[in-house]
Amino acid sequence: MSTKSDLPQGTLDLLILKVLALEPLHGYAIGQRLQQISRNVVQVTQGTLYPALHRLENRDLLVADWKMTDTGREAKFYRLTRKGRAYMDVEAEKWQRLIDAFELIFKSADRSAP
Amino acid sequence: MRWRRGRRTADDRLDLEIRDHIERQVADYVATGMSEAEARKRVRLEFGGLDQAKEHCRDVRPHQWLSELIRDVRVGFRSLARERLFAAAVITILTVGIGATVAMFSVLNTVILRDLPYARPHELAAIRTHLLLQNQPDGSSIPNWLDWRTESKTFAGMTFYFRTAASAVTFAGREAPQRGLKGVVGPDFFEVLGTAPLIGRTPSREEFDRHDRVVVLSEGLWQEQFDRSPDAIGRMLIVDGQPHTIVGVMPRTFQLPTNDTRFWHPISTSPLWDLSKASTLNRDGDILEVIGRLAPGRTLDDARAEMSLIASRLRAEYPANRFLDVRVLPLFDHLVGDRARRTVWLGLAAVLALLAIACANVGGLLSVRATRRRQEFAVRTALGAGRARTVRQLLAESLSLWATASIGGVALAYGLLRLLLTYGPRTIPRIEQLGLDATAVAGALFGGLVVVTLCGTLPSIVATRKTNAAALATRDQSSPPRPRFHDLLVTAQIAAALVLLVGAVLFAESFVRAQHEDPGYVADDLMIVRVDLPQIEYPDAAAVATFFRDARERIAAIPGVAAVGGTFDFFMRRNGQQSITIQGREESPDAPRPRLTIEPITPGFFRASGTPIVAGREFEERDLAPGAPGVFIVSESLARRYWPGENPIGQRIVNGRRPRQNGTWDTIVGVVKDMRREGLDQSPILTAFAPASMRNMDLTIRASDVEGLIPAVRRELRAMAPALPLNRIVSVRSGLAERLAGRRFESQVLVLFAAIGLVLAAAGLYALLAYQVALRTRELGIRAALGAHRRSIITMVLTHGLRLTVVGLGVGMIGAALAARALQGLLYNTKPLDASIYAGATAGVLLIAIVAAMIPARRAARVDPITALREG
Repeated sequence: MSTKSDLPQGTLDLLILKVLALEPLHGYAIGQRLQQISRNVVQVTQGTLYPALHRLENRDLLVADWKMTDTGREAKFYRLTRKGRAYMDVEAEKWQRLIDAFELIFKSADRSAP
Repeated sequence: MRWRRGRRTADDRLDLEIRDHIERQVADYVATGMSEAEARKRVRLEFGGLDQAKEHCRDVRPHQWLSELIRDVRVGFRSLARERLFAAAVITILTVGIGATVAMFSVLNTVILRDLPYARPHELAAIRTHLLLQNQPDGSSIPNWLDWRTESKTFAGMTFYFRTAASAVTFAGREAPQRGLKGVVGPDFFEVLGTAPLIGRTPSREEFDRHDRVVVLSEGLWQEQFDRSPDAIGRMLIVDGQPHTIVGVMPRTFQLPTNDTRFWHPISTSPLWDLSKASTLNRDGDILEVIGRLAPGRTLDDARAEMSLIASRLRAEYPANRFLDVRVLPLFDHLVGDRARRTVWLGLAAVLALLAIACANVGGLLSVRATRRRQEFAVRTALGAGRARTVRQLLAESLSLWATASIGGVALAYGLLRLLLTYGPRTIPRIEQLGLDATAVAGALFGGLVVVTLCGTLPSIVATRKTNAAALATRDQSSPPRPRFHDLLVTAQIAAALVLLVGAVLFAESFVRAQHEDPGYVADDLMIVRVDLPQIEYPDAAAVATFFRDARERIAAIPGVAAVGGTFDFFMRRNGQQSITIQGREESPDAPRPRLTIEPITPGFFRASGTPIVAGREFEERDLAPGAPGVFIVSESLARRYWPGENPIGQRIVNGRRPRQNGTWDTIVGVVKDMRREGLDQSPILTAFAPASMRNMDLTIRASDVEGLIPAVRRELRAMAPALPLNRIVSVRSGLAERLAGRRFESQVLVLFAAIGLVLAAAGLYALLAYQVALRTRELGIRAALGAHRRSIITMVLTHGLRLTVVGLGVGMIGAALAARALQGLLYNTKPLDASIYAGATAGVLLIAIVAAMIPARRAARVDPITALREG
């Protein structure tokens, strides 16, 4: 676990939003999905996942519905709001620019190296 | 309760969600072949602190702050309860500070800041005669008012009320006759002020011109006599035996000329009105207070320019106007007099000084406590409390202190205002409208909040910024951060306390000096009974004279009565614009004259008042007899002014500015000591006494048990005139005290404030030194172990305390001198920079400071080296 990379500040929110952009999921599934998609690079502890979900819910970027599931228990399904989608697009673009800049610097640094 | 239920279900849902997660994880592990028990254990490990996770979720929940705040405040109260003495001290000081401030600002707002209750009050102006020779303002005469009104264009309306409008008359509505104050007013009086009557109407121009006997009641009189019935309109009010028709009722807020005016009637029913229109009346009379309303678009400066032109024209035209100018000032400034204004500012300055001390004190206490708790906070931080969390806790404690003190402070302010209403000086205008002022409450509470929050949290925030490890390791507290800030607070307290003390001594001295002025009569065992004879039953001077002669005889016959006399008005504000003319020294009628008054008195007046006859004789019954030769008695100051070094007895004078047409003169038969009756702090005015019985008189009665004789006096007067109202019977002693009540009140308040300020400042100094000694226990122990003398340790602590005190005294001295200079006008026979007062006050503060510093110094010297070192 400890070999996994830490998430930069602010990226967890964005990743959650991205995962939920595809379909509504409950908390456990979100965690699983993040792990799956990132091929285990991103691992989120429950101690950070749930506060993040609640925070996004409070900011109206997510809404939650309680649904009966196959387990026979009610589970809380989160889905993206319109506001959440817009926020995600803006944030994703910011990150993309940052990553581009990052790459640019690294590549040019590589080139200029003797 | 709602939010509680909401929270519980929110918590339930959080529980459900987390449990769902765990179950799914367990199921997944079981699917990979793990036993359920093992899976659960692993999940629990992975999840980390379950409660922590939940708490984090709660943290992001909105509106959480409210319940947390309440929880914090509860913890705050609990932690304060552990330090009862500290909490009690802070709360008491804050309560006093907030209470005094709220009370004083309420007074300020009521008396000084609140607008007059009339329509567009900024348009209203007082137009006053200015005596050029004396350089002082005065009332105006009817002919001058008529000219002003005719010629002025800057005023849309100009009216007046009688200056002595507070003159009393007998009136009867439905009930027994009473005595009360009437407002005698000019035409359009109510219209110019722009206040609508509660019911009915105000006197019309036609009624005024027709001399109709109409009155307007005050709300108070309406309530008493007619129980607020609208039927009152059209009914009769008997004023001085004459029936007057009631046309309207003015609301309680309408308080011109005085706040206890019972009713108003137009001046046109008075014979004076026709006299004045014939312009035979002196143009330099002072009986009117003129009010104007500026025409739209005109300013006070326009009015001043115009009025001064009019005044200069009148000066050229009439000899009597030669030394008269006009001043135009906002009506507000005129009604809320300079003296009252300065009294209120004085109170405010005193309160602010007290407040400064209180704030510095609370600040000191809080910051000492915060510094002492550095370690506690370091531990909290180490255990995982965020800084925000710690600050919040401090804030909550401060809020608990503040909330408690606020409740106490507002209650105290309310109590103080009640006291002020009951015992405060009546001389402050509008004081009867006093009540807790919402702005004052809000302001004081906010101020208290700022002080408490800043002083309660800032030092700790600074403290928590220090590296935690260092703070934790600070078992060794021998070198705490030097509380420079705290030194400054103590110095400020000493300075403010000195200012208060000097002020208190100056005012107390003024009061005592005024109190000890020789009144020129014996105030004890002297009683005044006011008698106002109605015109209808006593139509002429003969009837009045007979009544008073009989009354004096009857009262004098009561066993125990030593002497009886009578005067027009014992305590009245003297009209200083009268004059005498001396045979052989006739001056031009318009030559400048000194302030002088003519007072009608009866025989026996000086015997009753106990005024020493310096030369000659007192009036006798024969002086009152018809056709008796005219006689005068003059006051010592008048004798000195006109006959310095000569004997005035036998000199021939007349009342007025010119000799009588028939060439007769009156003779001075006596000289009496000057009498101070307007107040012991008012210098006596030149007075010429003439024998006469007036319709309205104060009977002066001297007896050994004068209070006990009141029923007998009443009985005698009732036997002569059953319907005579006798509701003003006062002892001269209490009347005099009333006239010094303002001064006494000022000095009492200041002395009280100074005492509180001194105690607080001393406590502040004590707390600082005691705290420093406590922190330095180990150091002191080492010093003692190394052989330091008790005395040198005492000196060390004392020196620090006294250094602060001396700096504070220096600053305070400058402040006190500045304050005293500003308040000079309120002092009586006391120099604002009296060196002995400053020296005494400084010595006093120094002495108290030494006592306050001595206690911790001795404790420092008693530190036992062994214990100190072991504890360290």
